[in-house]
Amino acid sequence: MEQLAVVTRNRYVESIHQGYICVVDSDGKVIYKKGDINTKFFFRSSAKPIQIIPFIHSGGAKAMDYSPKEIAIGCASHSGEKMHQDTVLNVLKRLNLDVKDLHCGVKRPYNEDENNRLILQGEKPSALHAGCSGKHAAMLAYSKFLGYDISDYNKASHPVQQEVLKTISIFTDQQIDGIPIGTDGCGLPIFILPIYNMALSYARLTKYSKDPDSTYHESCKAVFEAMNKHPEMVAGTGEFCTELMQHTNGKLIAKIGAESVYCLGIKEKNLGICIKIVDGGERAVYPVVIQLLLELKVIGDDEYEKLKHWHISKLLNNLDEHIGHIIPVFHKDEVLTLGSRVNSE
Amino acid sequence: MPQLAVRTRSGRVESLHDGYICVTDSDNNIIHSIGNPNAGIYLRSSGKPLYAVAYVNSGLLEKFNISLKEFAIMCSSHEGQAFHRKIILSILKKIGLNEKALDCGHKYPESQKVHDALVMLNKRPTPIFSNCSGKHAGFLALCQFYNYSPKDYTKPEHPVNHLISKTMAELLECDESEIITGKDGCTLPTYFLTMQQTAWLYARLAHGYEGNRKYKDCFGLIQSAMTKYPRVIRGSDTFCTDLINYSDGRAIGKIGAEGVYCISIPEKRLGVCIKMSDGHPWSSYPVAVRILEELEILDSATVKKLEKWALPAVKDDKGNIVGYIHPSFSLIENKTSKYEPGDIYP
Repeated sequence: MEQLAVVTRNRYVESIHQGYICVVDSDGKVIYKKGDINTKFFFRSSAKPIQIIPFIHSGGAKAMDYSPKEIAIGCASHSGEKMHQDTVLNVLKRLNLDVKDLHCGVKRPYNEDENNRLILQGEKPSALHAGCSGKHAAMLAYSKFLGYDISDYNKASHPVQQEVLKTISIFTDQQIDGIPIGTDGCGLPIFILPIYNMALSYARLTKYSKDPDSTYHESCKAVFEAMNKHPEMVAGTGEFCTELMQHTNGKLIAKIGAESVYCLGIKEKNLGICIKIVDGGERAVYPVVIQLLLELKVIGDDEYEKLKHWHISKLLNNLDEHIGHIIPVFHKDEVLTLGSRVNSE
Repeated sequence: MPQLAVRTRSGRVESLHDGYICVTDSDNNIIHSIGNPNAGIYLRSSGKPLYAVAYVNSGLLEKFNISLKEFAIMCSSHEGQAFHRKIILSILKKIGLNEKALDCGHKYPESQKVHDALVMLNKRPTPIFSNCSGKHAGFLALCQFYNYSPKDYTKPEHPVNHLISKTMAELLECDESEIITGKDGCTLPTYFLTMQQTAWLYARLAHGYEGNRKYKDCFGLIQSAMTKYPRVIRGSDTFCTDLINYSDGRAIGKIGAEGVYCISIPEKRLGVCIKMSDGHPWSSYPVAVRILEELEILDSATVKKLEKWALPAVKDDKGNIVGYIHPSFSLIENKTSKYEPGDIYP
């Protein structure tokens, strides 16, 4: 475990975020790392772009007339805006399904305007507002395509989940019986994997998307292109994943997971990246991701200009006064402690 | 850094929370410590009961006829509930000011109910809703008492902040020039102390009227106010309020932002300072409860009543419990856990 970012107030370190980084190419060669890359974490929502692959690979997406926008929301942790609700609802309607068929639970949307609108109008949030509803809709569609009972598609024993697990196993290069399974926030099975293998799955997804000879070429290409064509579906207005893909011209895919997992696939050199902030503090993810993309020379000046507000995270107080920073530190030699004075901000 | 708590999911460790703990007596002896007691931390809202020393010492409580309940809210990080706001309005009236004088910013209160009520009325929260408005009322009372201008009272160079800084230096028995501050969330200066200094001031608060140092009577009154009005100190269904309530005032807890939590233990004259190094607030609650169990302040029946703070549940979006935030150290044995992410939690 290494220091990845520090939070400062008036030039003193107030809090510290530790974690792990692994950058790997599609041959499995480690390009960059911080901490023990065999450390295991839950894949959480960063798994979504892989979880949807068997649905596309099997021909299910085509048969169910899935558009790139719908594939994008299948990979999403969306913020529950109207555009997201409409997209998911559209899928359900086409499949003759209902909102109540979604087993993701009901959650307040994390888009503030939509959340406030619900409160203001006295409406209750529905399953459509849950960030995982797009993934659940895709699993329902897959289940229907395969002809299985849709009522328990969320159970680990359901054939859809078995297919997903097989795909996770292939992309992460881990034996199925060596992948411990837990319950995700939306109730679906979620996998514990070494950070190296999570990074590898993104490197492979990226490589296969470019390689017409790959068995998974069509499905990986569909995912990579859909996320880049509809980044607004993957998270939402003003959100990090969305802006990162909007401003990097198809160079990469990026997906956050709960408890601060972050995965990226970089087209050039077929790189896969996995970052984990070990305390789950999401605020540290953004500056660390941007710093890493700078270190790897993935983003240029023009792109950086549009993304720099995620890199130099200014902390504002309740009166919007600037009181400190979140500073990525993993690329520096100096080790800071609580209360250390930081000379450069 | 020492590991103090782990967050689990489906029986496995998902996230780790490191931090420091320092426990001192009222003579500034370290009784227990995990991590570096000399590490510097910003007090954040844990400073509020300490600034209250200046309010008592000035004589403003008598001059403006401030009640014990009103004094309690000056030490609070309240939830902006109606009864909190009413108390603050009463203070402002007594000192001849109104809500407009408060300069703590427009912050939505932490209480979900109050937040939703404001949104429903399409109203932006006024400064009185800020969890710091009680402290700000205290600072304004000082201004009115000493005839300082209530304008710009949040600026570090304003005389009221010199007064607080001087009081902090006296409490710490150091020179005022040694005091370091930063800007707090509500824009007033926040004080940068070591873990030990912070624990020591909370031990003095624990010692109260029976203390043997300057300002013991001030600490005595602060202790009375905080134990008598736990709901005023934070609000319904909050850890600070439940802890003071269910422990019958045997543990007086005060939260600060960025994972700071301080506790006074009157019967043992001990002060506790916890700092979660990642700034995670929720993980400081099980850590605090574990410390109080080890110090034999909370028995198992009381811990049971505090269960939602002692062992916070991690739930999925359907409300099913999928994990917990577990405390994972022993203060008495000076042991901390060494879990790796992904480990099976026994």
